[in-house]
Amino acid sequence: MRSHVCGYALPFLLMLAPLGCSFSDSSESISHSISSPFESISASISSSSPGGAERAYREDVRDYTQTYVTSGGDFQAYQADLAKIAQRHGISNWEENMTTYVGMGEGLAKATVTDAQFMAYKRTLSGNDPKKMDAIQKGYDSAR
Amino acid sequence: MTKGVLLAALIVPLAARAATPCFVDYLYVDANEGSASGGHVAIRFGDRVYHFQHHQPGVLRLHRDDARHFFYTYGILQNRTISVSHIATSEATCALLRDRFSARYLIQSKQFDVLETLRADRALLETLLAHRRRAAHGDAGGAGGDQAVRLRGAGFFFGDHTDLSETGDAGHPVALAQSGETATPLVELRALVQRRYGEDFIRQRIGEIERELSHMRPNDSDPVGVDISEDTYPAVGYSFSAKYNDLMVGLMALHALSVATPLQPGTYYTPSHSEFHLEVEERAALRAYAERLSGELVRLVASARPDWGFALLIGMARLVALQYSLDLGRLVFLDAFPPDHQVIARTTIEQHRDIMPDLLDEARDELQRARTRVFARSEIREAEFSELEAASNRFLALSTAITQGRDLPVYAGRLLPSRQAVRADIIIPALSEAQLVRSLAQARGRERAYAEQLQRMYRYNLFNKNCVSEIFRDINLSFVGENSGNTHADEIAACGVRETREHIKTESMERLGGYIAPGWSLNFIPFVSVMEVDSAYNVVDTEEHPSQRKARLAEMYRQENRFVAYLRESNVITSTIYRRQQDDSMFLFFTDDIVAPRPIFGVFNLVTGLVTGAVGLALLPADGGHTLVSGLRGVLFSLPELAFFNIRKGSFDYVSRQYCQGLCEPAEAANGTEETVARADPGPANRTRGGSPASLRYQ
Repeated sequence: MRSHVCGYALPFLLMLAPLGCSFSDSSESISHSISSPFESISASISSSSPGGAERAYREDVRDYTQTYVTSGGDFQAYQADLAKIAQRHGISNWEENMTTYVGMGEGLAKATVTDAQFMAYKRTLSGNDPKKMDAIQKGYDSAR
Repeated sequence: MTKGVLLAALIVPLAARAATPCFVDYLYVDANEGSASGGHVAIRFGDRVYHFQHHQPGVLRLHRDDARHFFYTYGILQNRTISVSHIATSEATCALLRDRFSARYLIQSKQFDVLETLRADRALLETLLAHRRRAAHGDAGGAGGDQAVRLRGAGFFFGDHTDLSETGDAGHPVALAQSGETATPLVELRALVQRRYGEDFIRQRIGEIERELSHMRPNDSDPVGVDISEDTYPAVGYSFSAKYNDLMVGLMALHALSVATPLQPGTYYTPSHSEFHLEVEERAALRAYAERLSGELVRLVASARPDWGFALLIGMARLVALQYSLDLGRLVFLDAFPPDHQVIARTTIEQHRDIMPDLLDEARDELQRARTRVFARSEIREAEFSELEAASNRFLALSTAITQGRDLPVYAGRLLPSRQAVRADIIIPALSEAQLVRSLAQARGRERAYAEQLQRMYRYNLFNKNCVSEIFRDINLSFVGENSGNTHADEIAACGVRETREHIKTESMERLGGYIAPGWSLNFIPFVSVMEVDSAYNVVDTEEHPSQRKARLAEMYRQENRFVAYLRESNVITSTIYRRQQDDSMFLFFTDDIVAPRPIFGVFNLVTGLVTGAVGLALLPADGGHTLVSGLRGVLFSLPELAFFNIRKGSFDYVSRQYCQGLCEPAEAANGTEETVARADPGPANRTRGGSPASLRYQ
């Protein structure tokens, strides 16, 4: 049960309010600031379940693809950013990873593209590779 | 049906009741000395937590963390109790809120990414100008910056080359020194490429890239509009520096392939530990993977995507390491620590000698799990192989640090081989000195203007732009334009401020059961905000996840005489749970688990702080003020205790797996199935009302 805030504690709360936001001293890995030098050694914390890791990657690709489609932008810039996302998930060759294309399909569905737009994106994103097109379709169908 | 779900069914507004109830969690992290002394707040959607952190220089940034990592960092290591308020709403509202925070995170991340890109553009122009001046006048002429570029991935095949006296004619790279040795897998790969694309393909591609680099022009127009917005994803093109770097990396990859360069010494490991021994079937699996990898690399050589060069370098390096593995019968793997990894000094390792065996066991277990995952599949995939590389790196680094007394490299993010080569023998685009000077001036201006915009837009403000207010603001803004697709600014332009605010309020009342207005109220204080959430929104259940120390104490009280256990654990001298960390202030008694004697203990803590401060004054020349600061902080955090108020709780820099409240086990072991990972309960909690967590469906 939460303790009640006594009236005379309020001055302390006000005094400490400026310190209420967690202060990050990480300028690089924004999502991985370290609390202690040994935190990052704990590999079990760093890693998630295999299904979880794949899902996290697919969701990131999905969200980014949706944002790209909605906001427009340069295709090469999209691919360059996709590479960064993949590398953050330990993948260097995202083009050969089918999860990438499933995520793309989900992103297209979330962006509520028209059928014609979907077909065009499907061809462009897959480079007309049938296996990749199938993966995009699978992602698209699952997210509609 | 549990009480919590019943309650949700009763109070979730009618409009939402037709849909399946869903829960969004508001997290309050208790105060402790350190970076969030007044507490902290976050919002959780399933296994993702979003929270705002204050970055230098006074900027508020949105973080996204894995929920287990968040609970581990704050609850276990920082020893803070975390309260969770489960807000019942509809699936549609959960999705709306989650999408809003996700979009906000992506947009802000990209905006800061753009700033880094502008910095990189400026740095590259400085480098190019330095080279141009050196070629023309014999010196860099104050161009500023480095005269080499960092080529990620190239370090596996090439050493650093920064001796400008050997760059020769700017425009062509130095002939890469060859030892005469070749890597057999790359000889074979080269043959495959030539068979597929033609004998001259590699040479032709090298020529094309060199020409493309020579003809590159900086993009002198502004890559993004002057008015950047929190709601709009920056639509920027492929930047000058990113394209230049990608082309240079591709060039190095093709050079490595054309002469089948062997791996650079020191870029891979061939440990003889039994943990790396390969069974017959594992070798067969790696052989098959190497064959498939070769096929992927053949396709990659002709890829048009920007990062093909980096992927080709890493793939080729892995191919060579795989061959070494097959030859030796044990796993040979690439160094995967990035250039910006942190280091734990050997002296710190020595001070923590008692926990190192536990850490090594953990790393060994993770290595074994990674091996199992890689070889369990019928075909090895890069994702699992990458995890095996990472686990191998961490285990070997720990083992070496312990047995050989070395510094320990650590890195909190995902490990992926990316060894860089620092090279000054780069291709210089055919731009005159005057053109480069003009472009550099524009790049500096763009960088400065953009940095100022970001600073203005995300400037931290105690009352109305802090880690609490931004969560409420984003919750409210989720309800703007959910049908029209309008941004907040568009909606205000179309409907006016008052109408927009009324619309938000109505939607919030319907969807969440209440409305919290960010702005000028006391709810900018984390503790006050959680009381407001509990009273305003449809909170159907609350949980308290006790801090590390409290959880351990509770266990001790169950197993021992409570009074004896309390006496032992009440102070830092006899406590078996807590070991003083150098970042903690100096104190004697814990006061977070008692109330009545708090002021008395506070006096002792105050005196401890004062004495430490006095000693610190004497030690000032020797320790740089560390003891003095510890004492002063000890005094500061003792003052609230005199008034029955507790902030300080101590912290931990490592917690053994057995005391991690389930957070230190991998998600699959902790929760049993992949299905339950998405609904992972981050640890034991005390429930104040409602059902068990398994009965609550998390989005």
